Amino acid sequence: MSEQSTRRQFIDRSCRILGFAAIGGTAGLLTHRASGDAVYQVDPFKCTACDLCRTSCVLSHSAVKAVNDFDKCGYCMLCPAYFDVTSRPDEKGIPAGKVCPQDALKRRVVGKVDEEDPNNNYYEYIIDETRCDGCGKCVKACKPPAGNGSLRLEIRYARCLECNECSIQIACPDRAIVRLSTPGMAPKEHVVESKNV
Amino acid sequence: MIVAALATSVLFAQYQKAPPDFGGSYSFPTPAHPEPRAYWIRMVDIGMLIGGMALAAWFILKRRSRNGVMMLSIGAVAYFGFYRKGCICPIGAIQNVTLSLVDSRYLMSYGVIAFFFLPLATALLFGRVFCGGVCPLGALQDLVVLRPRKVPEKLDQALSWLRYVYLGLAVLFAGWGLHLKFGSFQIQMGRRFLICEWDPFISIFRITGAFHMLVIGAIFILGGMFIGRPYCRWLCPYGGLLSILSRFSWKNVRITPDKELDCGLCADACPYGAIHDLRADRASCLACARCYEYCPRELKLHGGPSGSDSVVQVKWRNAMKNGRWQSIVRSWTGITAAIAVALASVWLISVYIHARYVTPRDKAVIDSLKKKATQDVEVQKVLQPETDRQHLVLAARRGQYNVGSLSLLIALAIFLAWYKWFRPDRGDWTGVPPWLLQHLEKIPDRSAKAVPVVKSKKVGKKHPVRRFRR
Repeated sequence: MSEQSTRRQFIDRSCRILGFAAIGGTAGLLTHRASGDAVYQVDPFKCTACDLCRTSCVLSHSAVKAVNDFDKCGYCMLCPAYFDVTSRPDEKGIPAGKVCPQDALKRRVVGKVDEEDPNNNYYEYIIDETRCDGCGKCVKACKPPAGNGSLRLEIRYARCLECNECSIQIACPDRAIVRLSTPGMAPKEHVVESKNV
Repeated sequence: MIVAALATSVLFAQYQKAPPDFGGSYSFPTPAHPEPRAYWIRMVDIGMLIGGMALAAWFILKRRSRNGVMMLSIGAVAYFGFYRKGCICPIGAIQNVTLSLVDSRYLMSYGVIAFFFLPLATALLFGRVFCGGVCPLGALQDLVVLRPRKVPEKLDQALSWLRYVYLGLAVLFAGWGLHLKFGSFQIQMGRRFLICEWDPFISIFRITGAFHMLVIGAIFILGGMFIGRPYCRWLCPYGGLLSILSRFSWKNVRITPDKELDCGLCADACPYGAIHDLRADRASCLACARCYEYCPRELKLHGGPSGSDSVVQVKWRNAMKNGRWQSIVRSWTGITAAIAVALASVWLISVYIHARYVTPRDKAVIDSLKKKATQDVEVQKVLQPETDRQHLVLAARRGQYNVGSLSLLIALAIFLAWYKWFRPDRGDWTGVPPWLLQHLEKIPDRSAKAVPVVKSKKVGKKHPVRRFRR
């Protein structure tokens, strides 16, 4: 019995040492190339506003929302992302239809208000995030030359669950979801492949 | 800040006007870009992992307390499960580690490394204490165990191989993907994180998910009430790794040895069939500490509680016996909770079915109105209110899902707590109609002492099924 227990103890001990060595070695190798946590974000230069952001997120109300870069926005009265320019204009000449299916793009008059001619005003366009579902119709409509390209889709970190594998990245046909390191910005990599390889 | 850096770089060859001269007073709003989760919170996660495993090792190996392990499990479900939403976890970390080893370009974080390697190292020292008190998936299954059945040993062993099949598939897909070609037949699948995509409990922790994921989660929870921890025993790839390492652990679960009494109560108490020859099998023991609870020698040799003989439990039970109203409350709390669970499930399913039916119809209405609007201006007066109405319906439905899911989970938690602690004993049911009473009394009594039956060494073969709680 003591022979067996000593042999068993020897096997146990040596396997334990081997195990610790393997764990320590691999952990060390990986720590060497490790950095901070990683988050996902939309690359606006690659995004074609294909509507898959809306449906691919694991959340039922997608974490991707449209945002407006105010320093690029033209503040136009006749915003091509706000009004559906293919719809029939009313008697004042303003298109009657709106682009956003959820009515999430809101506007308000800013600056000096012209009482007589409402067409002569500037409007600030903001997105209501409780309504926006990330479909990207406004983003597509704002692209040059019709607009300035100030509207873009963005993963909002207040909503994003920061999953280990972004399901939107898998679905994106343009490889527009990139994985970035926090803190700071490590070089972008696209190693986990999207569906459309 | 990341986003600002990404997007405010120069747009080449794009039409851009300077901001207009607004006249009057106007200042640019500062757009809010919410920051991602701060990095120091990941350090807190690692601290909780280390602390949790240390506590688990102490409760399981030193203090030998089932109550301690159960409290830890509840804490793990609360923190790692519902608060952290089950991500990152060591099971998923298998994929990150694989991918990082295969492709050095992959961004690997310190948190993922810690989450993968620390429980493995702890398994070499103390056995599967991670499975016992810290893993949120395991803790969730452990807390819903009600009437576990014994699975035949051969079947148990055969099913355990599934873990390694899953591990192999997960490693294959995380590192390389699947690219096969047989003549004209070919499969081209890119790298995917299978474990993350098929995690049964993620939809419960997030309280949202695709329909098939919610169904899988419900199946594992319901199944887990009658078969102890099916995911842990037969599907968890990380559990497969832990069970290999746990075989050589330095300290492990030791069932109280006693020459005079080979009663086999520990083997009966173990919901996971991990006790062979009256010893905890180091590979399959999930460190739940139930075997200590039912060992009659535990009190004598370790001064700990033994099943229903615990002094604390007797005092609690006597205190609860007083009063007719207390008895009625005790009887009806669990029944009400069970009914609430059923009602909430039915409500959620009916809202979902209604949505599946109504949403395409609503979308068609909006599409046809928009088409008409390009020709007829008057249609706009109908289109805008319809859009608003549909938005309200959508918001209301989201509210219904939230309320329904929370009610379901809370009612389930109340039911489980009631079943384990507050359930009246046989003869103490009060205010329950007779037709219901005869079904309720079939549930094994909490105060009944288990009678030792088997004296042979080969426990687990043809053993009478005895259902224990907790």
